[in-house]
Amino acid sequence: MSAARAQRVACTLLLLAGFAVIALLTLELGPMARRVPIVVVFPTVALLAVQLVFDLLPVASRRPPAPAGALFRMRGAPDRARAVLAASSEADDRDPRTEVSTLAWLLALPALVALAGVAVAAPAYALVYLCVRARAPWLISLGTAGAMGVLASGAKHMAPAIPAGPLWTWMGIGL
Amino acid sequence: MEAVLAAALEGLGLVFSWPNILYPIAGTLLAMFFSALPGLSGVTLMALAIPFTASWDLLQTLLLFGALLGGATFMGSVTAILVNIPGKNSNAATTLDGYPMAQQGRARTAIGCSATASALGSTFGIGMLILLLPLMRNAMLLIGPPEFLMFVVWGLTTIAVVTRGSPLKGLAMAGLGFCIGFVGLDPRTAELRYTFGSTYLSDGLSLVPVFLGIFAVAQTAELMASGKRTISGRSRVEELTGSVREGVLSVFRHFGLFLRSALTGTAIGMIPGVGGTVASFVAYGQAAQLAGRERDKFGTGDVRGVIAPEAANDAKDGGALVPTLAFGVPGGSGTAMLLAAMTLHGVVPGPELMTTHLALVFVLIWSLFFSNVLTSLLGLAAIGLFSRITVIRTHLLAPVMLGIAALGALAYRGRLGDLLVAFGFGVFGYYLNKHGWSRIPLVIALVLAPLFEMYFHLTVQLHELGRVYFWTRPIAMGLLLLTVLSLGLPALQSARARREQPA
Repeated sequence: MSAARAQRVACTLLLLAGFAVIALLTLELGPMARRVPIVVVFPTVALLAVQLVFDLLPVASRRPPAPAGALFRMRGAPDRARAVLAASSEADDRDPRTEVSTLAWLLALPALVALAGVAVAAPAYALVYLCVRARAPWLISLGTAGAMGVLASGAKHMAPAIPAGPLWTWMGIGL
Repeated sequence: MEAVLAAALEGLGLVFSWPNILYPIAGTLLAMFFSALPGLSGVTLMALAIPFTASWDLLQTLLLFGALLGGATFMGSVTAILVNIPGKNSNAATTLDGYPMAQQGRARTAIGCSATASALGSTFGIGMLILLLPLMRNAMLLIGPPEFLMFVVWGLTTIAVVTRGSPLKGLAMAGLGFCIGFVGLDPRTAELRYTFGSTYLSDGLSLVPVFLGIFAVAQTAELMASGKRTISGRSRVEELTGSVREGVLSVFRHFGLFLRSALTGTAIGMIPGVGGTVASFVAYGQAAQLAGRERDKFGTGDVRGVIAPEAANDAKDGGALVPTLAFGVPGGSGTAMLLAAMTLHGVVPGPELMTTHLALVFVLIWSLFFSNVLTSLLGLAAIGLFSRITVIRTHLLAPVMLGIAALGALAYRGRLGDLLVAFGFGVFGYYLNKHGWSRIPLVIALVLAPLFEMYFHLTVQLHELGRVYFWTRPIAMGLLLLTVLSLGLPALQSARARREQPA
């Protein structure tokens, strides 16, 4: 099994496992509270199980998905358009290291916001990201970080709900 | 009819008064900037805008969102013509003849033609919407909870089946969207559902951080992981050649084609979920099929191959507002964002909106119209400037986008949980997109979950009380039949395609 296919199967399996938990939780609800969820949850579990079987079955040729399903399959639908759409939506051939680094950078921002507060975190993150990951010139990095600082303080005025301080000042507000 | 005209005039006055006019202008400029960036889109911008507009007046919010909805459509065609990369999937059909025109040194002609077809197409779509409004008001008197329930089910089924990827995945995503919508207190019994003992979850998951995560954060992660140096993959702007005047006049030379394509776009826009991509390709296909002997010219830089998809793509916006405003069923991710913004302001689309708040409906319509026209005019005037956006380095955008997303998540309620939900859903959305699970059915189901639950309970209750028998309601039965057809047709078509494919 190729790495891309293994990842696809893992994704379906995770969704199925998640829905299995939801299905069990649904059964524990009272008769009125589960009336609507039960109509949705069990068919979805069945759909995911069928999808998992499809993912596990060896398929001879996997064409890029039609961009608009059955309606797109009109006479003379140009292959080039299919290729353009497929290129814009498919991302299976990513370098795993780039992906891990991307997710690490992504999750660093909420961590920094929790530690230092958004007013400090937003410009600091922009500065570090641009200098370290993007290897942008100092002037551009400082300018963008400065702009983020102005934006963060402007947003604080527009939306007073934004907490200015770090995590310990929010205790009891958030989770 | 008089009430509709009075509301239309009141709406027009509200849009074109000072300082209200600034909102659609700002919205249009922002939407133009964002939609010119392939990889990012007007929907990302709308997701980012929702939390910041939560504290605004409803009027200002509608003015902004009408402009964001309208401004995003045309600019995607500019990158499609200049660099063969559609700003949105719905602009992909424009690459077929637009890019060859640019290669032949007729980029300005193609852009002039696209701008004119877009502006006139949106005018046509909005005109049709205004004509249909009185009919919609009357039609809604015939509709009760069973019909609304079936409209939600049919709309969502269509959306799930026609979006990218397999129909199975689309339907499963709709199921997931509903389940996320069910988190929190049950509206009838106040029993907690799927909260895992968390007080944060007992309020339910707010639309704002989920939308921010699924669209803005996930899209930025996509941009960060793609490794592209610039958005278009190029480092310099293409030289713009050709005549804008020729492009503008070509729409009038092929006015019959324009009208046919705009009508196709409006009709397709009215079907929930069948968005601009289908509208533009169907219009392109029609244009090619009806060209007779000249069919072979399509795909080689024929101006008709730009007129048809652009007219249909912009006309569909007016059509898409019909199910959104009348039944609260959004036709796509853009209208889902609009619906979320309206819900945050306590406005529920449906009979009440169409009767007591009709002037607000017109505010949205005029803002959409104004933004469509302004986009085309600005697009023509400053096309050289806007085309430079495609050479901005992606790495510079990523921290700014993430910073705005974090501010947006906190701006809504100031809760750390919202920030974590936004970034958690960002990672989730990234993987969904990577493995071909469309996020559109998920967000639309999330928006529709409370409506679905309410209409489901009402329908069952009315049935049990013997007041309304579901099986004797012709409209509900018709919608049930459409739902079965939407589920069955793709399976039949793919089975037929497999049979016809040579071994």
